[in-house]
Amino acid sequence: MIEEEPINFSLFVAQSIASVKMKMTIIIIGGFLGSGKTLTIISLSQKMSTEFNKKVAVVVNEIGEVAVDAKIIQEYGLKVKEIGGGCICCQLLVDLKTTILTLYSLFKPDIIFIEPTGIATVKSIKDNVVSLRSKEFDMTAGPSVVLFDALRARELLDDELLEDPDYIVVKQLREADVVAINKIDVADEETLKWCEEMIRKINANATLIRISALKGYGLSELLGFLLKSSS
Amino acid sequence: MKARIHERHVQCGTVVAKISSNTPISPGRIVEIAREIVKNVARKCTEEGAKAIGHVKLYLKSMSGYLRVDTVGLEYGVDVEGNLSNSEREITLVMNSVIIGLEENKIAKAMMDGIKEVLALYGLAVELERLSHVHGRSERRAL
Repeated sequence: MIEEEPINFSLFVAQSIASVKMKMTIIIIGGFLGSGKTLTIISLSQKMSTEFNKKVAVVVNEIGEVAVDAKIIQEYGLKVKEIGGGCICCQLLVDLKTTILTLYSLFKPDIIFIEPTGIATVKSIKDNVVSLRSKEFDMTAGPSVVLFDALRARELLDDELLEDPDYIVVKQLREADVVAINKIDVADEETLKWCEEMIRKINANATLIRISALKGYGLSELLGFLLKSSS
Repeated sequence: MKARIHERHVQCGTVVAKISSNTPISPGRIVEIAREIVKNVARKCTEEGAKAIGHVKLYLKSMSGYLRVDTVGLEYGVDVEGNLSNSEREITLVMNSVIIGLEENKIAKAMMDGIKEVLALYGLAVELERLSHVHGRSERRAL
């Protein structure tokens, strides 16, 4: 019997970083309301800072006038800029550009995570980010991540909802490069397999990764994939 | 919540407030109050005719720490995160409620009434401010 060597994800991530020239990378972590974007960003940021000594900053966009998530992220000591009062995927693109450039000039972060609103779609944000590239501004747009809430899987998706072209959750999943199925700590294997089947019907090409931002499961794998894809 | 949620169905309300008490409120009691506020606001939004709760998020800040309390619907419970190390007499509150299928004015009313009701039960004074970006004005209401 051949035994497979267990994969050391931390080593994998470290080798990914060592093998590429690090530039500023911008990564969008999207997903529906309550899918766990803020906690995922906090957890990934902490891993980047403490394990790989990378400077991380966060841009948070919330629909409300005050960005509650930005305050939470600040409590963890992370550099954060907030954009409130509208949605960056359609209304506040100029604000997003200004904010990214401000973060770059103030902090020179290695990574900027963008947390859009829970009803935003990621493609227009990523297109806007890509347009920032210039001779003076050395940055890479990483893969767009969309979180899917496994706890509410069967409330958020069914075959009928998949047919609705304007349904927010389907629109978000369709545009993802990576779908991170979150809250796997409270979902059984049958539900998780069902999630993957449904997501595949919407997006056949996205990479699927199971995570629990709360428990830390799958974050090394997600981080490794993001860094490798951003090089 | 099997709702066909489209962008046009989504509205948001924001309230900021200063809570004060003559006697210090213990961390455990603050957590209890915060949970009740979130539950009460979600309940009131549903009673006002919301199609679904998108996300009700509460942030409390004091000298000794912070709390984040939120729900995506009462059937999923209320999550609490954060740390308060001491009893407090003054707390700052910020609340965003993203609701499906309810007008912004009704969301704001549900939030103001929901917060006031719970704080009155605990004998606390509050100065509330509703923020509205539609018309760029804010309304200040005090108990």
